[in-house]
Amino acid sequence: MNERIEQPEGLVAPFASHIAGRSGRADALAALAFPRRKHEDWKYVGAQLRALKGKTFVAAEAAPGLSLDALGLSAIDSIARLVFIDGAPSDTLSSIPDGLDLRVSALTDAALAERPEALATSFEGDWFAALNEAGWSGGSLLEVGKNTDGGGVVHVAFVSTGGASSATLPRLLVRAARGSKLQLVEEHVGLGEAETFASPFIEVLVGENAHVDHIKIQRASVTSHHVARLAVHLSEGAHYRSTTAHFGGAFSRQDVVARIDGGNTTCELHGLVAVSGRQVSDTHSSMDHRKAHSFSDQLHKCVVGGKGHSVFNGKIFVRQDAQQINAFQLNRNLLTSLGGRADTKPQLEIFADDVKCTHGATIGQLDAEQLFYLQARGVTPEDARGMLTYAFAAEVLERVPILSARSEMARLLAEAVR
Amino acid sequence: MSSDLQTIIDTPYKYGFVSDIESDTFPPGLDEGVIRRISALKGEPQFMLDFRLKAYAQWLKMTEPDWANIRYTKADYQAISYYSAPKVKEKKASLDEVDPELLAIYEKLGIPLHEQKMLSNVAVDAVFDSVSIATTFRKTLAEAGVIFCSFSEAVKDYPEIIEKYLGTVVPIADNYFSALNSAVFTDGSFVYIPKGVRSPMELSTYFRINTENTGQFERTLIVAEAGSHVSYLEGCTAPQFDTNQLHAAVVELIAHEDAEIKYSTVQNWYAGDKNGKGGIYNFVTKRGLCEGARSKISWTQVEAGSAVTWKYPGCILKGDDSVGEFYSVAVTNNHQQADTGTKMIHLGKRTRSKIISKGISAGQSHNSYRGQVKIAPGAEGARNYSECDSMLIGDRCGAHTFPYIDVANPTAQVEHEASTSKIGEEQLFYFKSRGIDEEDAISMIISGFCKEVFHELPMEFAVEAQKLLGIKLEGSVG
Repeated sequence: MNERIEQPEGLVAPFASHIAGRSGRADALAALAFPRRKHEDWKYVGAQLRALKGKTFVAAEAAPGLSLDALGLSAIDSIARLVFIDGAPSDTLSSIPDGLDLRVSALTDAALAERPEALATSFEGDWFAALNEAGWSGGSLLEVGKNTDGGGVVHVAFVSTGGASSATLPRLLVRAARGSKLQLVEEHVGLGEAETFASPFIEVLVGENAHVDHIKIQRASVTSHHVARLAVHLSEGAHYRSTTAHFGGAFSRQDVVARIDGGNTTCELHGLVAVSGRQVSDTHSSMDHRKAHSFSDQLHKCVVGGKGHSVFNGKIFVRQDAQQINAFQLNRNLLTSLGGRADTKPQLEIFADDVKCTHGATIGQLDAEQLFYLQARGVTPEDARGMLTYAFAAEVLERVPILSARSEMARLLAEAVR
Repeated sequence: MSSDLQTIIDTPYKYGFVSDIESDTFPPGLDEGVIRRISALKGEPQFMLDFRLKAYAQWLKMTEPDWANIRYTKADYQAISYYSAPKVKEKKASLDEVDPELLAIYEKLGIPLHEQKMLSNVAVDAVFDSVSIATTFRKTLAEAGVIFCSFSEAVKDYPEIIEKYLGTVVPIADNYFSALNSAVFTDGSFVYIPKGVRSPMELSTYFRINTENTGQFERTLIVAEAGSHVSYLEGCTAPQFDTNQLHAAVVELIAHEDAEIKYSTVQNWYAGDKNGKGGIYNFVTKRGLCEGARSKISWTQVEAGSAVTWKYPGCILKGDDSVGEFYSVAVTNNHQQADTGTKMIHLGKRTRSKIISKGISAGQSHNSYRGQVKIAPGAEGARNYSECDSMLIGDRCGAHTFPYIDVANPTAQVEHEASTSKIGEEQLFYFKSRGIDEEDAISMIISGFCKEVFHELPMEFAVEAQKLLGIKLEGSVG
């Protein structure tokens, strides 16, 4: 019998019925302590954790009769759309045409049990992942068949309709089979101003020689708590390119674990964070090179205004005998206001010698000379700041391969930094 | 090509010998009584005893830190003897009166005290185990008004300065090892540079650990008054022992307005044998306070020895326009582990700091850079530049980087760069095609890799350090 550690009831109770149905997972959750500032991975967001711990949430109830227009989703040029309303998939709002190479089905515990060990253990010991593992419901399984081209973009939208104190644990498992191709846009939208809690857990299996482009747009309501987990597993010859943009949430936290389990692989994890007001956004990533011959790249940029706070912790692991690795990482932070704060901790852990790994981090403000240059040409100081801030962040958007997603992100960015 | 390098790496510890000098040693164990005895033996004033007891009470409440990227068997603090002094019968008036056996050890280490007086312009305060034996050049320094003496002498002669500054930069409760040091330290060095004085020579202390099972707890305090300047060198070698020895030193530097302190270290304690048996535990707390405006503190270190190193020389940049610098080369081989780096805490306006760290790991060793750059909300216009490069030699070693950058002022500019790589085949080929053999090529590439740090070392040290790297890495590249 495991020793039971006291759990924050307000976060666990909304999912009690699902947790009760998965006894093994429930025990795993019960054995974990809710993170605190003392935990190295949470050291900069102790206040957010304390606030979250003290809240009482209720299970979200899907609001009926919503029209697609009312959701305000980004205009993504997609061939298929999968919409979740308050955690439950909506048949009326989703649109999966027949004859596609991809298959969407309800996720089952059995499908999760078939995950490769390396993927399933990505978030071992993580409280929020354990909560999702035990308490998720209404998840989906998205599959692309062997050697098929998905044919276009799949738009997956998680909408929180803003029921007061509602909590959801979205779950999505993506399986891109050998030689397949998939373009995925994942979007989180919050309607209204209510304080909500969501802890999505997305897993992506990139099979041999498969290509997956994964864009995430997070625009939860500015009072909400968004704690996301993303686990990616790459097989031999796989390509995975992702860009995540965080605009919403009072507190947003994203942890990404990419396990690069084969040679001739490419893994890109780019990120863009624009926070203002009292928003806090924390991104942790782990680029785990487990086999020889692979390449990874990561560009993470944060624009911090108001009394906002950005945190970045990017780990690059190169395991023993994983030779011939090229891994690059750059984190740049722009503080645009007096009260803003940025903390960054790039981290390299290298156990092989034939590697080229670099990381860089900068924190700074806009260049006074550049501002002067623009002003000398008649641009107002406000416009000059806006232009330069936008240009700083836009470097990340250039890496987004899906054009409609790119222009939506550009629009959201321009709004965020205005 | 790995075999060539391997033979060079495997060169046994050059300075491994045990000198047989009669020691006055306490039985192992630590309690309040031991602390009172140390204090009484040294004839300390009441404030020192109070300081020690307060530190001991604090230490009892603390637990040994485990966040560092190092693995070791924790020391049994009750199995250590906390006092060991070479038996000194009376004060020596000149070097001739010093135990000839002791002088012979220095001879072996290449620091002939009497020759040094004439040949180089360096004053040496040799700390043998815990009590300073001889201090040279005292007179020249005294003429300039510089105080350079052992810590115990300073406690007797300048208690008011000690009382004012002791524990102000590294508080008793700073960490587990600093608390332990504060309770039981037996000796160390004290330097005081009066206002406007430029020290007429570079000050140097050679540390040695002798006598098996004796932890050495050094305490160094350097106070530079307004407008003064001092360069301090510290170098260490130790005899070869099987049981792990603990070294928990505390170094405190205080620089007042416009003062500059340059602190250089070459550390080459016994690192254990090829299989990781034995070696020194080096748990050191070093910190400098740039108290006054425009003051500057610069740390330069070459860390080549010790089985386990845990050391983060830092600067608190409190005065406006003050400057902190950190230059480091850390080399690990066989089963050595080093977790080292720096802390730059920017409090004052327009404070600047620069960090250059070079890590080289070979064999099965692990080398970590851990650093923090913190810009406080009031540190307007602060500037930091950090560069940490790691080089891996062999496929069973590890290089790790843990930089923490916390910025709470938008006018600050902080840059951090790090890279990890190995000696390129192409670079080696380039040298070889010009008739330079592999070993020389490697040694040249490594010197080039560390050049920026060696440039900061005083001349004698730079030469010694370069040689040391050569010896440490011989035979390991391939």
